[in-house]
Amino acid sequence: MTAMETGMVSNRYSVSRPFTSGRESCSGMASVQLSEAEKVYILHGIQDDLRVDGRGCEDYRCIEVETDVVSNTTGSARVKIGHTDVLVGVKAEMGIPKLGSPGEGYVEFFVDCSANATPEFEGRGGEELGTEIANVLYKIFDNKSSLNLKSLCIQPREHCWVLYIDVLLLECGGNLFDTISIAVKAALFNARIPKVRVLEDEEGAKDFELSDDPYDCMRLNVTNVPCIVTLSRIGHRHVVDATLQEEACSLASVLVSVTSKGVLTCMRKLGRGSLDPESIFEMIECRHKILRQFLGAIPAFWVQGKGATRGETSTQVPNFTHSSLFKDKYMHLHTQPYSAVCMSLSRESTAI
Amino acid sequence: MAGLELLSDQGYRVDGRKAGELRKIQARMGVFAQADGSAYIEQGNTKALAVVYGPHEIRGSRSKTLHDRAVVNCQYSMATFSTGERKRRPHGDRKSTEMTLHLKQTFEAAILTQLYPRSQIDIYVQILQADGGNYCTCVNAATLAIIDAGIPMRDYVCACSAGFIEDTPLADLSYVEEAAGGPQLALALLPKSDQIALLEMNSRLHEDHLERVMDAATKACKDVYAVLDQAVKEHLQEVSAMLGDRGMA
Repeated sequence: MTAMETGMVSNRYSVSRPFTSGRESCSGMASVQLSEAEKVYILHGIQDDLRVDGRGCEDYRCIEVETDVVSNTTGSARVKIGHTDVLVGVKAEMGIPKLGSPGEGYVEFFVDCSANATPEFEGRGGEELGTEIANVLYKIFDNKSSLNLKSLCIQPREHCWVLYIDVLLLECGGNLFDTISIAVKAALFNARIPKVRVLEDEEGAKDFELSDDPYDCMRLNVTNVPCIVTLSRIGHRHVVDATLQEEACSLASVLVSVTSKGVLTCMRKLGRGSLDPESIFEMIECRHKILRQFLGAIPAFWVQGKGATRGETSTQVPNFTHSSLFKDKYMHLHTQPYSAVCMSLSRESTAI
Repeated sequence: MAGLELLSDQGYRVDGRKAGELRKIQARMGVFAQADGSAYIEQGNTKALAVVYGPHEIRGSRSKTLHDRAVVNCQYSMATFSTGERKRRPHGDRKSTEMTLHLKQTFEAAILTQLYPRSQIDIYVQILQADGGNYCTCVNAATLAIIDAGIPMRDYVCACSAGFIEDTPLADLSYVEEAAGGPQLALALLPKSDQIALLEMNSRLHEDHLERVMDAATKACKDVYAVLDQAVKEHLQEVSAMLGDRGMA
């Protein structure tokens, strides 16, 4: 019993659980049931730009990003926004390029809505939602600029890297899409794909040599990987980063995927209600404002620039946070104050 | 076992442990606020997450209702990225279904189900990273989650695996040791009463050695118990400190 040590870490213990009394399954999403009075309370607050948790309509909750959490993956990340908790693992495996794009690798998405998140997802209960989210992810990555797929090619027509991006939903607390997109981006940022050398003998037989050195690796440029911003229409206003309670009040929402430059790569209306075109344009326009506060803070840590190129020469790989799951060493991204976040992030990424 | 020496002449294993030594265990309770009970545990590089919902009304078909005790409903799943080679499905395959049944059997033996007639207790465990002893790690995580949910049990359920290599019983096998293909024993124990909740052995082992391997596993389970108990106590202390001023008022 010599090597037994327990590392207990301080713990968040939630005492109050507002409104999570009853649950219903609605359009495959985990959701809560609210009484009319509760809905009116939330609605009136939003009209006055003051939400139940004290945020304004265009404020995000605190975003916690942790990378390198599962050591047997190529890249992994855990992102937590409020009670929404997502773990993403990226695994690079060798495969054959698709016929339509012989000089490129490809990505595969899989979303596992585990029963951990809510008992409704037990068995095959989460499959519907999982497929829906995976399809959205395919769509936002379905353009040339998001990821440089050519860098994943090893030998045209013969071998390429296939990136399996597996999303595991641990807890649902509203705003799933945004959380997942941030986690995917962080996991891709964290991915270290081993370099491959192709050796050819006299008879033309090819052999691959994978580098053993963990620092001799390829990193992906994630600058243009988009993030999803979901805007929920509640009453006559829209909110970002809705909680489960707010989602229950919202009839319809618009999901836009934007890069850090503000380029729109995908857009979708979600929910059972209808929206008039005016309000859709108004909601899309607000992405610039959100981008300024939210994505605007992030490039410092998404942009591979400094760290990666320098890393290659000095055999050091930048890593902005390295910690184990469910411990207290998180990277906190807070939407306010932005300048402070920018500073702390750039310090983190250049520190190594 | 050519090529890899699992036990050196000096008595050390591949990862530097002695024969009866456990891997480092780190545990945390109450990781999720939405579930009734939750726990996260790391045993070496094996990481598991357990969530408990209930006791609540029977969900789905009423025919499952037991009139004298609660139904224990389990689901074992492995994250698709948890293993060395990517898995296609997180749950529903033959191995996961078997694990689910094992968990159910284990916890039906430990939870005081007769206190909750006509209700259901859900235990969901998820392997986030697999490095040997998946079943045992899951049992330990689920025990902590059940305690966190406040569901009464006869005793802690502590599980640990044991193997037998080069005439020596080894406790808490890692993936490398499991993959070597020697005999493997998984034991879930109620440590205070020394009752066995689950016992499973794979591969061939001479009857004469069985007792020694069982003893090694029992010892390891009791060691696990000491760690889990400490984790629970520390968690309690933390929670009571947080609620302290409320308790005074």
